[in-house]
Amino acid sequence: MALSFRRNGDGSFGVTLPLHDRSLLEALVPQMRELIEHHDPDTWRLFPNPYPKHEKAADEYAELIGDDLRDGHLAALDTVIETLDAKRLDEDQIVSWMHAINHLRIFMGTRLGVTEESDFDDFDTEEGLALFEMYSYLGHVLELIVRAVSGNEY
Amino acid sequence: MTAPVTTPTEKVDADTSIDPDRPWIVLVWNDPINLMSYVTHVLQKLFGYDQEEATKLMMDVHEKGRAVVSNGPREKCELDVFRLHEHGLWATLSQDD
Repeated sequence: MALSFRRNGDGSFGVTLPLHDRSLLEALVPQMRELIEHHDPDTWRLFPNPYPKHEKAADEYAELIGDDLRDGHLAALDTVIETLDAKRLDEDQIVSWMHAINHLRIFMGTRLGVTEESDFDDFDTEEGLALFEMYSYLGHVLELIVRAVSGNEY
Repeated sequence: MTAPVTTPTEKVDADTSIDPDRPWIVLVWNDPINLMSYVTHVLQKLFGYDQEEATKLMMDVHEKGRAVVSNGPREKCELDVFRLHEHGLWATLSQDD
């Protein structure tokens, strides 16, 4: 059984998550949670400054949103852990999966310093290669989820 | 999406004044991580663009480094930026000029 996400007639989503994929997410998602909770520097891309040219407005905005963005990122990760064994996800749950997997990709891509042209040849340490492999794999998972959720054809 | 061309962090200037009467725009900036299909989907979902319009905006981000995806009063634009950040897109707001 290959990994798949598909929209059911009732608006829910069917999931096939092979054991290998499940184990990987089970390991990665809690790590991502810790990185966000501990304000790891490589999570900065998940918290962009909306006012790069207005320092005061940026401060006011940060005060206004408080922990909302952080809490939202964490809640998406929690949903993935809670529904790892689900064969069926509702729309909110699959959107949480989409967010959580993209957040993992953004963190990994930031840590690796990827560019659009990045390839396996660019990483010569075992750690870098392993991370890039996971980054590429999660891109594949995300692509499958986006296709199921959006219904867009390419 | 492609190699970064211009990023917001490269343009940090001194505070410029905010004119309450000028409209605001929401910009999405190119980044090398977000998938093209994902960005297109997010723009459709958040702003109601059809696939063709959203794809065109996504390609503008990809090729020109950024695109205006919404506009309006400051509060509305701040909410739009927040929702884009929830989705992991690199969004900023500024006054139309």
